[in-house]
Amino acid sequence: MSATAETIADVEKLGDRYKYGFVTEIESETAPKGLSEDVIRFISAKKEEPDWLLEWRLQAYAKWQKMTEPNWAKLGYPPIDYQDSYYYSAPKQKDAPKSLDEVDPELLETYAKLGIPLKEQEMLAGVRNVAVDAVFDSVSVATTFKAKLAEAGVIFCSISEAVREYPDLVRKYLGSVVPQDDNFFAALNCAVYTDGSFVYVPKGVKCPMELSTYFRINAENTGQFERTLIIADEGSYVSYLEGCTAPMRDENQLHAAVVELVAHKDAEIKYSTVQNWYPGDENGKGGIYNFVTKRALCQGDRSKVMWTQVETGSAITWKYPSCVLQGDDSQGEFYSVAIANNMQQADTGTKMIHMGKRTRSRIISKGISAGRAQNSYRGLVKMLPSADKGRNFTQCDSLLIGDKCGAHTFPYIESQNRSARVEHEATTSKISEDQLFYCRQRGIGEEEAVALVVNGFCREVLQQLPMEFAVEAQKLVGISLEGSVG
Amino acid sequence: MLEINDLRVSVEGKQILKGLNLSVPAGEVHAIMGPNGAGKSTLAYALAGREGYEHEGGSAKLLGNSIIGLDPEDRAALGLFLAFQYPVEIPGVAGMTFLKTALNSMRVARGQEELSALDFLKLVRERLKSLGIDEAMLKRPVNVGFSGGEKKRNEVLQMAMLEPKFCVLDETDSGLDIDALKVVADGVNALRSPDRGMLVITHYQRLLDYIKPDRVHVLASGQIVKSGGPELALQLEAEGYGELLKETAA
Amino acid sequence: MSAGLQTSGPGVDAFRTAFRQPSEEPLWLSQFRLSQTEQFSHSGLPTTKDEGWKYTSLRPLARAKYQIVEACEGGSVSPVLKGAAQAVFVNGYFRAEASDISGLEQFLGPFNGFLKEPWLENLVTDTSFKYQTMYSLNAASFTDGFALKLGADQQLPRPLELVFLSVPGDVPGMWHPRAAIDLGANASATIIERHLSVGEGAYLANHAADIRVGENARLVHVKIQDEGSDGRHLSMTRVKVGKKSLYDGFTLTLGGSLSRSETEACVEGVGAEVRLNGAYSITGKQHADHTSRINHLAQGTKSRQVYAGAIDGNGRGVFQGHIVVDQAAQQTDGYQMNRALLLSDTAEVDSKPTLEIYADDVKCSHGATAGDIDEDHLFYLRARGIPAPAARSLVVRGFLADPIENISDDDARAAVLDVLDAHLGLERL
Repeated sequence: MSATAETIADVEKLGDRYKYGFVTEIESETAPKGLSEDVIRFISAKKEEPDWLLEWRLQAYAKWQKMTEPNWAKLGYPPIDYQDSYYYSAPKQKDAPKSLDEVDPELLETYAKLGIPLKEQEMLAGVRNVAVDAVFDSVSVATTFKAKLAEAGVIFCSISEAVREYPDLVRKYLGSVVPQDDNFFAALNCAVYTDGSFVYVPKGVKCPMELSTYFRINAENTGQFERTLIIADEGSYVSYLEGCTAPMRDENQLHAAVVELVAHKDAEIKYSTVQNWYPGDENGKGGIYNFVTKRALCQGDRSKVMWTQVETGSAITWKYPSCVLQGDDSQGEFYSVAIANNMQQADTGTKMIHMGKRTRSRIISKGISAGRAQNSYRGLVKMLPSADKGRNFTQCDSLLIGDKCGAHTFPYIESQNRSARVEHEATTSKISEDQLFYCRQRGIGEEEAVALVVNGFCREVLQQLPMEFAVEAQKLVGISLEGSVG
Repeated sequence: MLEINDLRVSVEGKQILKGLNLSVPAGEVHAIMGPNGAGKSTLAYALAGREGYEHEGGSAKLLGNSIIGLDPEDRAALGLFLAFQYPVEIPGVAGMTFLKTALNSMRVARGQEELSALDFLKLVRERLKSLGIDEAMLKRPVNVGFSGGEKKRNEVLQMAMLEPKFCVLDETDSGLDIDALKVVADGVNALRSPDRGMLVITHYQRLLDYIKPDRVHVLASGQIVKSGGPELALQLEAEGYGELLKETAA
Repeated sequence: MSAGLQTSGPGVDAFRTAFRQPSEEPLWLSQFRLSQTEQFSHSGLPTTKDEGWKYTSLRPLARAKYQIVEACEGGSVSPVLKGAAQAVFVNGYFRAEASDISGLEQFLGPFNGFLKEPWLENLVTDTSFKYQTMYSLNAASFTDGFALKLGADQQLPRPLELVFLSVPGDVPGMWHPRAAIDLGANASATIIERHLSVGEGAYLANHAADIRVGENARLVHVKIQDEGSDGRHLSMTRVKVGKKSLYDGFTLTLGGSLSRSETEACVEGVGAEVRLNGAYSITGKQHADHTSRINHLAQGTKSRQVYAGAIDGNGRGVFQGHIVVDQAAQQTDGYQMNRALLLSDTAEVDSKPTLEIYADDVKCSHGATAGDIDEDHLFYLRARGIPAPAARSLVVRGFLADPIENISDDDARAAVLDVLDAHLGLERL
């Protein structure tokens, strides 16, 4: 109940606008700058990958070279020089740590500072257990609670480890939801991805704890290209959360991830994101370019995937977590809060492709624009001729704070089935002066009043997050809007 | 306690309050009555510091502190509470969260410790009980979908929680049936105390049957044109504003 | 035409013979034609890769081998508005003998009769609008059209019907009629455009119109498109509205194999209002596209786009509505809605209602729905003894009547409902 109040107090204490902006001084091993077949071979060799995977990467690279960067989104940024970035950076470590005790204390310290304790005993003190895979620049540095998860039959590890330990699973599903040449950034990711998380939940298993990956970009001039693959076998359930931060740096850094989810018959996947990459300063200097392809295949009947995202960071966000609803009676949900302040630009939304009978989808999007930011919702709802009695409901609201920002809505609604029903509603309005005055008359300061009203505006989305993260997300909403009024 | 001298306020370039004088001592309840368009709500909003209500001259002091130019939240922290004629709906924000945020904001502004969740809950429950309000109301978003009566009771609850030094009640009777009015008035009366002042703004005498004022002022054309005891309200009720305004104009 | 053109967009060659050579025309018009011809030649026919044409490809036009035709005779058409004047065009050419514009000659006439008027030049050469391919093709190719000018405080003494009659011949013909309408301050007019065809055969009618509504003026502009089943109908209308004025545009689409009615409005006067409403009922292989862009450029402006469509057979309905609110356009009130009924298993609808907002004190919303007839409505009517087919027609009629109710001119509204009822085979309600 009092989360917001505490949030506001925390926000006050923070002072620093972006508290994750510190740099960890750690020795890294990096690939030569730029992108070439040699760099890809280097990455693959570093990771001791099997030949098929190297071939797969090179194939993607060949496709990527023939593709052009998409320009349809409402985003403006200078051309990216793909040769001016490092594609591999890993903290130097003599041998792979066998247990958490062997992980570099500097790294443990970094994650503790980010509020992500990697020591299991610390986690256990919490109300609920959350297993964490920590990805630092290009590699996974630690995964907690592996033993406990293994008891339940759940595989949770870095994708590099999965390639070694479960090659059949990886080979079967990698690229099965997002084809190599799906888009420019996905192709790039296929060629150079370095690490990420892998989850497999076997038949009938309800994953006993929340799974979480924490992504951290640390090294300079380094792109992060992670790859996440989650498979929920028949009748299983898993809830997964990713968080992201990066140091404050003056130059832009590239992040191009691919996330693939597969839900089999009666399986359910909840995927939540709190994206707080460094957004750049108030003049638009620095910040992460975030180009992400996320897609779920609801393959089995009655399968269900729910995307929840709180997007507050990044200078540029290009992201459309989608659901392909193939199984009959399968369901897709998308809950999104996207906040763009200062010079941030966000173009985000979802795609719901209805193929199976009685498939259902629900889209709730809340966009907040402040400062000189541009924030766009872009979404597609498609009812194919086979989607008998399909249902979609979309509610898409935008809030403007200040008269220098923009809020845009680009929905695409395509129906080819008479028995399917699609409903789309959207509103755009200014933050209510009446609400702000009412709060302030009750003694609540202006910025806190904005945080409170905006949190109310986003409530329907925030309440979809797992409890622990909902609190953090509420705080973020307040922090992200600092300096937007007055 | 509240001292207003020659206050002049304009809205959208038009002067509404034209040299208003008013003094409300601690422990007293004063009523402001007046015809539509006299400037009653302007006075309430100007005191609370709403944007768009331009100060053009004169002074307004609460407990000796000038409130002119202060932000609304700073006036609230000084102890000024406005019970709104039309309480605002805030979707998605639970009443409980709202109250705790408000209370602790003010405590911080006054240099007091914030209340812990537990102490806060204890306090809320105490107040809810004494006002006979169901806790369920605070689980709902602030004022969203509330009936007129519920909204006004919520205002009284906030007043009881925030313990202001001075309350301005803007047309608290509007939109209430007689039963709801009695409940709200009982709540307000329970908050009367020797160290608290109140200004009750109303168009009708009806409310003053339930909240008995010590003094009654008539506001017309942006000024107090007549002041008197409670009997003035009854006179107005019987004769209407027309008679009295004629009289004062003469 | 112009030998200097190096690049040539897709499909352009199919239209080169239509480009008009500069002749007796005033210089401004020749220059205008030249620049529009160049633009068209460069971009060519749009495809679904062009965002504005995502759901409607014009590439098939290049294969149809349309020819420019000479003026021909055409029959007369009885007016849908009682007492209305009529200007009749057959295959794009004005037919004086079939028209009745007596008493209105001082205000209107064939486009070519006004070429020396400065108002016409100003209107046509206005560069505030975005490039649109077919508008440019029209500019390059038009032979005649319609012009109307009302001065300050003037009113049309009686309502006006513009009848565009298509008479297809042995070879597929094409015509590119052009209209210019200019209303001075406080002027008002009601215009009903009717697009009809006589006989069977393929053709392309590619209309372009430039409209200005002056301060405090009011224009009700209703279009009823009921072309033949082999006819392709394209239109691009550009509207500028001044302070406190009203442009009340409505489109009823019933005919044509392929149709696209597109409007771009610049709402540049404080307190002005633009309505672009419409209804469509299509079946067979009909493809009906309604596209609009409303640029709110001044404070306190309002726009409404409400469309309802009933799609049967293999029909495909497209709605693209775009609202842009400039930073200066505070207190904009914008609304757009496309509701579509899918009446068959092979019908399709694509909606793209988009908002692009750069001012904060705005109230903008939009919506879109798609689905079958509400079974509850149908059941209610059938329970009252109405047979299923008639009940369906009635429900469709009610659905399509909703946007029609917004037409601000009573007679025009009644006329549109009459046409719709006749189309649905219903007695006048």
